[in-house]
Amino acid sequence: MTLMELFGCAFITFGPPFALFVFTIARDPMRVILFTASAFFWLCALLLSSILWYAVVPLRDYLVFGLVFSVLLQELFRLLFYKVLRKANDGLLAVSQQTTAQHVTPKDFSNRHIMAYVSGLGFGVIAGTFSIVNVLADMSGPGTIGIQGDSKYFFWTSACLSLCIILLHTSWGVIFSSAMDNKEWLRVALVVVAHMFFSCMTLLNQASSSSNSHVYLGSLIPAFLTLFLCGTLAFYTAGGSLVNLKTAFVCRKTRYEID
Amino acid sequence: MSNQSSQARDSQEGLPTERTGLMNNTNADHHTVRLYQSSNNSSPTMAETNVVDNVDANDSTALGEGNTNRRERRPEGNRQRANNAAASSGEDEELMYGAKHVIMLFAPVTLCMMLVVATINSINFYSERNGTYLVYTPFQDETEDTGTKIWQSAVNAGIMLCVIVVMTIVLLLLYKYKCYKFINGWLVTSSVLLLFFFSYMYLEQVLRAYNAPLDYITVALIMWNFGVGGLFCIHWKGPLLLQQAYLITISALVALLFIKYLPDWTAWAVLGVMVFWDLVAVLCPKGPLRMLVETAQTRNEPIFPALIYSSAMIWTYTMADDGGQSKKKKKDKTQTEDEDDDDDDDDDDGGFREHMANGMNRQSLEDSTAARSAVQAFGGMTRDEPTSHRQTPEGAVGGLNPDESKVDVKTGKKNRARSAATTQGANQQQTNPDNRQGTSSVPGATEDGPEMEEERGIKLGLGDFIFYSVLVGKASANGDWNTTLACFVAILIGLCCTLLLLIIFRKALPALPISLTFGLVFNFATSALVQPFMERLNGEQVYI
Amino acid sequence: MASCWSGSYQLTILILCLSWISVNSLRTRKKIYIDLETQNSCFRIMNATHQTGCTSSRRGNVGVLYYLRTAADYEWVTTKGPNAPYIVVMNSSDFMGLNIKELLKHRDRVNGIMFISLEENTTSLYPEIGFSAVDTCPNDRSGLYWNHKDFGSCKKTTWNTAGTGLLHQDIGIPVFSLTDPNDVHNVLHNCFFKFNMKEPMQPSTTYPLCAAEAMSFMVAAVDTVTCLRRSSRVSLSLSGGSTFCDPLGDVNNHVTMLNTPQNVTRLNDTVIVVGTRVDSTSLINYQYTAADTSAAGIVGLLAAMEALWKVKDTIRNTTGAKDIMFAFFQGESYDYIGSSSMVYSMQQGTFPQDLDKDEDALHLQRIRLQHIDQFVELNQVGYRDESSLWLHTDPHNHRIVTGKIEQMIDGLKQAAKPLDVSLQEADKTQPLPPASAQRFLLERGNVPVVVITDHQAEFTNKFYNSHLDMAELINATDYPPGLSDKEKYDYVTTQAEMLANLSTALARYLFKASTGLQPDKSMEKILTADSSTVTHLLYCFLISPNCEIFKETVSPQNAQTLEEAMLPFPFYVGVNSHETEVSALISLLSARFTGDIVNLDQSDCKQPNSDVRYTYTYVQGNVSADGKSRTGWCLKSLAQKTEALSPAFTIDGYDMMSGQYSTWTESRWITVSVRLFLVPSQQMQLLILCTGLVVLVLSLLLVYLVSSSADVVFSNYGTRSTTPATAAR
Repeated sequence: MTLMELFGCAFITFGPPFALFVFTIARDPMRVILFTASAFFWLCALLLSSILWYAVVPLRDYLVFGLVFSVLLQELFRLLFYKVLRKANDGLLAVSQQTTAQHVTPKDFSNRHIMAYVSGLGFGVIAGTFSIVNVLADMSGPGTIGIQGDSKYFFWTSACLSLCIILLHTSWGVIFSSAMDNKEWLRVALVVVAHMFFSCMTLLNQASSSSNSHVYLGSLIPAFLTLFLCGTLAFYTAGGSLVNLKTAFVCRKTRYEID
Repeated sequence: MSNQSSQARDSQEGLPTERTGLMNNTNADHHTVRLYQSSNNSSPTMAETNVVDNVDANDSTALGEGNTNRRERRPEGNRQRANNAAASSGEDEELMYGAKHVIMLFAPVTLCMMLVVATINSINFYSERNGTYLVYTPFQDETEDTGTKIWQSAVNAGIMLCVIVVMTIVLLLLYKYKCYKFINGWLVTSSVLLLFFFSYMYLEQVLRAYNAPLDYITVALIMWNFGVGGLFCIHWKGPLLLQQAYLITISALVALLFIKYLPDWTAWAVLGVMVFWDLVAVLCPKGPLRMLVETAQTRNEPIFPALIYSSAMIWTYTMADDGGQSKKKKKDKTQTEDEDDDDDDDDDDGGFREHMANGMNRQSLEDSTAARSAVQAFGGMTRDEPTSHRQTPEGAVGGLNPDESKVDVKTGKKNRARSAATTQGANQQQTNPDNRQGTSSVPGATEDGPEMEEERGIKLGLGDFIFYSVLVGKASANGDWNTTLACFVAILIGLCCTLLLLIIFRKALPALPISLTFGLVFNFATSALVQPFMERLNGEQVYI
Repeated sequence: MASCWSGSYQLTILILCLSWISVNSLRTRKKIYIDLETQNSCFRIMNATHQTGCTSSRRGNVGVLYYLRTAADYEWVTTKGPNAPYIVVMNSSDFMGLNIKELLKHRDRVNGIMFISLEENTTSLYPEIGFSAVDTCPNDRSGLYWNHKDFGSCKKTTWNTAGTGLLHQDIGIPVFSLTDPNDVHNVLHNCFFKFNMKEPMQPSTTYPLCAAEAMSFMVAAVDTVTCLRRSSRVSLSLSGGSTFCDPLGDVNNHVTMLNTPQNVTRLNDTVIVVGTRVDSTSLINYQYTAADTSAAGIVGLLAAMEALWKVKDTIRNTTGAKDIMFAFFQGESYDYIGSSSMVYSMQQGTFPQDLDKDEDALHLQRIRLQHIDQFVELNQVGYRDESSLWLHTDPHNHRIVTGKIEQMIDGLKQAAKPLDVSLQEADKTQPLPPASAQRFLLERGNVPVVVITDHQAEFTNKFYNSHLDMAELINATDYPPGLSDKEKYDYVTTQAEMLANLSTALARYLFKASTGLQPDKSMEKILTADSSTVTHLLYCFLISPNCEIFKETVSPQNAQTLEEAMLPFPFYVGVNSHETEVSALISLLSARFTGDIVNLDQSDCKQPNSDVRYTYTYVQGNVSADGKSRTGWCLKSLAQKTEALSPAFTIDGYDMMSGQYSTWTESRWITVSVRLFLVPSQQMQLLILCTGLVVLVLSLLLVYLVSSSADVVFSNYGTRSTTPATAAR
């Protein structure tokens, strides 16, 4: 049985988003709704790009075509969602206030990054889930991949790349929203370009095979590099800094010491 | 207001109450809102107006029907304000039950769908076709011809719809002419059927699927306990959580039955037809469900409480047990004697039985219809009940009045219990409805979340649960998780939209149309268009 | 063919349709698994006391694939190999009793068996020592000699020396046969040699290894009694009870020469019965070739029937002519289901038709056991020992009715003599070989019985009741090279020639035995079996059912099914709820050879209510003059079908343990499939799992830490900011 593989891959892909969801989203109803709504927007984007891919029959065999338009559409819907959020802000505010943790929630509105983060995570989780869930479902059998000449790292890389795209979407969400707020068009472009870069890079994976597994490094390394860069950018955008990190944990430490 | 809040902050450092939090942040927030809003249509002076305006903005932006709604609602709000002598921002409080309540519905809907999807995926019985279908579907789409299939499933769906319409009307008439005994018998019969037979069938299939032997004695024991427990919880008293669990389970069972016994295409057609029927039944002036709701309102009764999933204690008989619990709590806190007397009155009350007459349950087919629909904004509606009561304290509402007054008493008592638990505020014990308002307005009187939930619940017909689950279950039956997921998200979003509309219109709304439309669109679109695309992408490990 | 085309396969087909619904999306599954086409699996059957045959576990048996070629391979699999359990693949020629029993001793290490039975690969198809799925003394328990002090358990003659008894053994692991070239290629070259034998002669032991999952889970268990009890239990089930097994059974076909109605008295000893068995069996589903075991006998009997019915008027007009009944017994491999059921209904007085049902209409007069004048059985006749056929008699029977039997033997020999058919008497002290006649003798010891077989003592056929009992072994395919299918169909093979002569001899003998007249020269000329009919039938039964004579003889509704049939129809008896193709075809062919074409169109081609003796059968008929459509024949004949279901299942309160009647049932199953895939190494799996766990725990920790101190971490934005957006990085 490859159950171990299944659970391993599931944990890799869904571990970090799960942690994020549990600790930052689940407790706040408003965020859960935002999360779902952004997932819905991503679905709409996917649906449109699928229609496009499906409709343009001659190019159906070229994934590049579908991919490019899909990325553009996703970014378009991110923009759309951003606009909707900004428009609906007041309504959301009104709706969200009667929550249990009243002393926390309104921060969502004072700090735009929270909404951006939540919607980014929603985008990411649905995108990552869509790309891995059927693979996971197929893994539950007794066999692993490879009999048709695929690399034995197929599942592993699928899981890693899915995780990557989930977190990338999250950081893009933060960067994009703040860039839109501040009208920093360069950053907006950066998000689009990064997304395009990441997606196009994964086209490399097609070249992998059982004898040619190191092709994956060609996409995995840049992918995580992109993730690192985007993540850092998002971190700073959201108001984090190394100093803060240090203070946060040093503070904790001293507090414990006092205890 | 602001005095109170500042007071609270002064007195209770580190433990800000909801109200204080709300005040502070609405003020603070309003400024930020203005920064980003082009149409600056509010002038922040009082928290109250502030929130109302925000809602208006919400109307015009998100829904585009702001004007008419505003006009309609303004007087209402005014009336509210007039009514609520406590004047603690009645309007905004009414609006406030948004996000929290949405989640309170998300969770059960998700659970119900998960139950169905898990069953479909692990037990073949419910997805395989063996030629037996419901009586209502005379045409079984076993032909290859698409045209024939379409008209046959359309006819099937039409027949189903007729059955549903007839049943709903029968129910309505029975209710209108107060044949409570009959309705009660009907509903109890159907819950017996569901709780014993269909759950037995489910158990049997589970055991069969996992090839697990189980002796009849154990099965009998399990089924008896499950069934009787369910009957008690649904028709009489029981912990809220248990009641909710039973309602979800039952909805899932009915959904599974539909999936199993409706021919494939017919099931989709029925889902489509339900969208329109729900609209008609709930929104038309003479729509049966609307009339049902209205009749219930005029009689000051909750509509078929057991047919409807309620996210919270509604401080009626369904929550009777909780009354007992709070009593216990109270006793622990050593309350005054007369409170205890109150409680005893409550629990011994023969009027509960009367109430049980319309404490109804869903039934495989008809009731689901009746229930399906009517997302009930309990906050808004029930708020009026105590009010009207206070105005007509004695009689005037018919035979049920004594019970209602009991309900009021109890409400008050619960709040008392709460306030007693925190602030020993015994001064609120006498006045009932005002008391309620008081609790939320007086700083320190409110408590943490769970208690708060009890105050205003949101209701969703079990029929909605059923048809949502049917949709997701059918989507998952073809083995594609992406479709399932897409349907799931679409339905949740539909539910959100419905609730948003509910907040705006503040009346019973059909919960199926938006969700099912989204769900159907996403189901077919995903399985036909998205799936091939995603399949290629997954296969070649391309990430978009 | 009136009913469904498939016997037990129906179930499988139904299940396949169902499973198709859920398998239509391919996804990554197709990258992980290679699904084999084969459905040829061994399955479980049960009698009153035992379960026998194969089953996998519920989720299928998984094992590393290993191709057995040398003795060292067996050792590797059963003791040495480190990657147990294995699923072994073997050549058909190695698939024999000893090897399998050796493997079955190590069921902890051998999780399944597949063997390659590719027809193109004929050189290695047949094990030298033969292979027979049944044991060395077939049907002993239900035959005449059970517990007989001299003949019981084949003490005198061991008939089936190649018997392995595998069919009656609880194998307990799945056994599959690979007949599709693609399957074989996948198993050997996409799986075994690619992953498990990278170096020649050096089995790979490092993962990933190629493994197979063989799935043939049987839902019935223990024995027939248990299974029937479970199936018929008054189930408190709301979703309908489930049936776990079905009794084996089908229909017997028979044709009588005379249309004696019920108001005409039938005298004792006036019916000559000529019988043969229809079915055969094998270990593997779908592979029920039965060239010698039964097909030769069927064809011989049909040809004799055709010849004899050419002179039917002469016989019918001869006063005092004895009735002749041609009988085709179904299910004989499983403790004589067909013959015991016919004997039982003769005893009950319901044979051939139940007169009590409708008393007004004309029925055929009852045939009871005492009406039988003699019994000639055509047993295995394709593979002649010393180029001769042998006449077997039962010693006891021979003693009682010596005169009659001698007369029969003489008559047969005489009829055979001019036809160059050598008929010899087998040892008189030797018991009867396994034959349907035994069931008649059991109930009435003084029926004169002669069994015509191709073996003097032990079976000449080394592949009795097995998947290898093929047409080429009985010279039914000795075509000159380069013939097209059409030419092959018309080419008269050696076997056809010999069979035709036998049929002629039989027909002439029967004519004489019935009428008492010696056929004259012109009559003899008419009383000659058509060798082209024989070769056609052999071709159709053994090589391809999609042939002209079958096409002419099926009803228009079934023409399409016939058109699509690629392989010869299986000779397995199947379960009682479905009529097998072979039975249906025999019935139709009997109608054709014995019936008259009446001028009725398809809708009118029905039995009149007043006279139910005749069967009206509408068949496609020959191609009409324009070469497009078929003429359509309405055949009026005396061909009858009677149920061939063991009386054990019809008698109320029958004691299953008594052993009197056959109690075989076939288990139902849900899916039968084999798929190939790679299994990853344990280390790789553990690594992935651990990585996953570490990622999960780390991210939980990190997110918790960051989100709990989010105010500090993200303090640059504002005083009340909180967003651990990048916390998980």
